Amino acid sequence: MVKGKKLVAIKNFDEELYRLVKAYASLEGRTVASIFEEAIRQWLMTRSNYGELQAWITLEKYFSMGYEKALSIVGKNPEKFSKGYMLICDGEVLGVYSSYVEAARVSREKCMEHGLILKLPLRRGERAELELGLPW
Amino acid sequence: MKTFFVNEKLNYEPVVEVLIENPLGDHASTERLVVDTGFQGGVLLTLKTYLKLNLNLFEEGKVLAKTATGAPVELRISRVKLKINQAEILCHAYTTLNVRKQLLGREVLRKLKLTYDPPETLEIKPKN
Repeated sequence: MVKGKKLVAIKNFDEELYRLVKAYASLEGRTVASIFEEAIRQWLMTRSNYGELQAWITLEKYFSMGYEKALSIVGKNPEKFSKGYMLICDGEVLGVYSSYVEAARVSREKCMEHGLILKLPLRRGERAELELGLPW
Repeated sequence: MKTFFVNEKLNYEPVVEVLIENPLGDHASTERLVVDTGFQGGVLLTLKTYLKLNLNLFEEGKVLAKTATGAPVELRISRVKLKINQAEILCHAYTTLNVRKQLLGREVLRKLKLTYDPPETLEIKPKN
């Protein structure tokens, strides 16, 4: 399997449509996957929040990457990481700073897509809850 | 700060116009926020505003929010500075996908001392 590609099986796909796609793929000397990718990209462009969704996915990717790395580093040596603010930049742990503002300054300079500033100590599974009010 | 009520059909939605800055003060934007006493946090922003203020570089993690109907929603958090008249308020900014209305919640109202503050003892005297 090529890196960044995945095997996807689709149930109940229209047989006739699939035959047409295969025929066009053969005529144009392309793979079936490349035709599906093109069609899906075009469909995505028609969605009103496409840009927002893309930005969200990028943030999610860096967040989960960085958060897991932070937990693993802190887990190995909890005493060392008992206070301060840990900065995770684009999914990589950058260091520990004495204040949020100091970490924020470094984040502005070094981070491209995402900066996560976690207050230490860090505990796995700990997540605050919040009242949102009405679903707007 | 501009405060006003809009739209008679919506029973006059309470709106506040606030200058929002990121924690370092290098990106700012004036936004209209709907005052929502059901929202516990500081401000709820659209992802577009959140990114415009570069808040993606100063995130503090995530929280699990529950709507009044109990539906869970994951929110990203950052810090912001709100400038309201002469006052500068530090509070938390939240965002998620598909935010349609930007809200100003109880964290800000409390700092502005605008939350309901009942007397310690409530006495109801019967009419003679």
